[in-house]
Amino acid sequence: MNLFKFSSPQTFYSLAGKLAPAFGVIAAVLAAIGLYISFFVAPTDAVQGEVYRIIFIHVPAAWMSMVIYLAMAFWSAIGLGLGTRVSFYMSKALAPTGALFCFLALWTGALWGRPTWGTYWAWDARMTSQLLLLFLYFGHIALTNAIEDARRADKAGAIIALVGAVNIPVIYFSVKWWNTLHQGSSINLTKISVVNTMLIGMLIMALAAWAYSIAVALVRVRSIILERERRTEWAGVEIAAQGGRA
Amino acid sequence: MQWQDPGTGLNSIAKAAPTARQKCNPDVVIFLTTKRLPDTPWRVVECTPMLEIHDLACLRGDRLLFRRLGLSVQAGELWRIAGANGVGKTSLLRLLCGLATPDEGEVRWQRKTIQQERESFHAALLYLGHASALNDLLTPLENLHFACAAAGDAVDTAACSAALTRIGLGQQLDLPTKVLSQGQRRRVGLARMLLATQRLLWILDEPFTALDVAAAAELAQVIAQHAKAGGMVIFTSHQDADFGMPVRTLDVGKFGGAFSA
Amino acid sequence: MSKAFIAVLRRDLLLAWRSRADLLVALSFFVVVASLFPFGVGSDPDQLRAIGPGVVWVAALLATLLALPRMFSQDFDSGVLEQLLLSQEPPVVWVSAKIAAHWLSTGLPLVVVSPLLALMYGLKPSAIEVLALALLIGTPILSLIGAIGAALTLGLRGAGSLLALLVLPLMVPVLIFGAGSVDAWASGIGLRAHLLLMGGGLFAALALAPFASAAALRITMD
Repeated sequence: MNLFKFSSPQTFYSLAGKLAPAFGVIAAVLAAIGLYISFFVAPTDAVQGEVYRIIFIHVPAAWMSMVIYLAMAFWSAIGLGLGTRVSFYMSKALAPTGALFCFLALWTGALWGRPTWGTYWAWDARMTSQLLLLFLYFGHIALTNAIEDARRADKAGAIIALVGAVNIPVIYFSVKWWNTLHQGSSINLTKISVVNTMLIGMLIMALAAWAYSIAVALVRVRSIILERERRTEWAGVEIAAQGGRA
Repeated sequence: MQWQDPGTGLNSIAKAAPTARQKCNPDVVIFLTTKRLPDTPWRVVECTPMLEIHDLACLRGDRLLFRRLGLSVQAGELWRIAGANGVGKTSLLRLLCGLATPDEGEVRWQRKTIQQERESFHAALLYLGHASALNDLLTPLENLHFACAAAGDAVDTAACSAALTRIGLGQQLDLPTKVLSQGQRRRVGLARMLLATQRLLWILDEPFTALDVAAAAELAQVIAQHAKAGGMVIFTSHQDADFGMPVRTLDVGKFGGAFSA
Repeated sequence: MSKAFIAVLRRDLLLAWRSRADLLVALSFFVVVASLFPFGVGSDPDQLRAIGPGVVWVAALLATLLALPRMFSQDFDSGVLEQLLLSQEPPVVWVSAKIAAHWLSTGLPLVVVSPLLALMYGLKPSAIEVLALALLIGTPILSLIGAIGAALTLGLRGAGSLLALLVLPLMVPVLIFGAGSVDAWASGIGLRAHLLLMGGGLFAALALAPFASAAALRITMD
């Protein structure tokens, strides 16, 4: 079992405790730099003016929402394949952050769409698949919360995460197909002439989003571990130390 | 695998051979290997438990139902799982069948875990659970025939109706199951047992519930017969029944959870 | 084909026949939902012709969804699922049989009735054929995807709405290509691509969904 040293909840709990603050600090620093570049360094866009600056939030959020779903599917596959409980906990810990980024991407997209396209919502391929991704997150969260037996909830959530991950490319492809067939909305994504500073700003913001997600997921996974493992001796001691009730 | 009647001298060899942990049933000896023992004319072996439970633990939510539960069952044995309500008898039976995965420990069938040996184990298993596994819209005959076919037994309709007639449902063969009484539904399960004598291990959850005196006596007889023929029966029951043979008891309560969060 | 597959298929079809009143309810639901739209959007024939395929598809999707919980729940309550899990056959065999029986008893009737609704929406006879063909290929995919959700939500409180939340997003591609095939045909693009994609989707679903459903059932019964 040495191979799976960090799959032991106790080891992972303390590891997560050490890593979470580190990632939190990284996230804060990167976000500060990224936001500075976004708002003060990056030049005003010739066509869109200042409004475009929302992409520094919008694009990283959209990326992150997809990455997190894939990460959930990855942990789910590991959990089902190797039977490691911590993998399921990780998957569960990631879900709310993924849903948050997904919502953020939709929200900032709507805010961006209003001044540039003249509408909050368009049945554009990307927005539509983002919306469906949000539904997948909701489904996952609702299912794992509806099942009372924790073990069943973990595995059922893993199955739906994997099924969803298999479907994401299909959904994206079909929505794109549908969008090109129905030329109802005459909206084109206005091209921004991306300059280097913009790209750097976006990348730094994306890294900040990564660090934030990892930090938050680790904090969340710690409380999930404590909750699930509260029967065990070490968790009991830990909970007592934190002034809780086992 | 080969079954042999207890002949002279066999018992002593069988008793000498097994490892310390395993206790032998003196009535039946199973020959799994044909190693020749020194100083004896017998091509013997050891007395191998068919079903072994190791260090089993079962959690239900926050409650630890039992842990460190061990048991080894040999051919010809009759085991009654005892314990108060809610102590985990049904959970134990479901673990034994492989319907549930143990939180700790393992169940072995002929020395391999039942996960490894799923197909051969399920081929040798008859499980009758708390629910009757009958559909209200089908007739008892259709239900029984389906149960046999789905389990993989080649049993024809004639054999099914003969079994149902034998246990006293001859009049109800073509009625929908929903008009049957609770006891009559249980009798369909009894008919299933009659058709599954080739399955070595029977696991029965409360088989005596709702049966009248006559049916209960018949059930006890069927169970005892199965055990005497070299089968194994594990059952839960609150009633006492006369099997005409020794019944071993496992009290799940003794393995009860030492802690609950 | 294996004995367990045939036994389960025959039994489930027999049961569907014995409870055909329930199936009629699902079928009526399909017709009622599809008939509601004109009251909402008006009776302009051109508009109705334009939305017809989409409406029929959405109604078929909802009718499938309505019938999904029945796929496993009765057998779950009565203990039949436990017995099936203890069968020598791998679960995927009889799960496939159950899905097949479910489609034959709930999906196929939708396909049969759909031309009637298409007529009410003023679709041309050839468009009606295309719609029925698309439904014939698409509704099995709905049953296959739905089976995973039905297995995962078995025995839960509020299983129906949870099931909808889980499987509807996954069914969107089927809806897109199914309803899209009629438009594609009408606009002269041709059917080939749509039907090939849906056929491919059907094979993928046939290959994957029974395994996922079987795994989900094992987890649910654990």
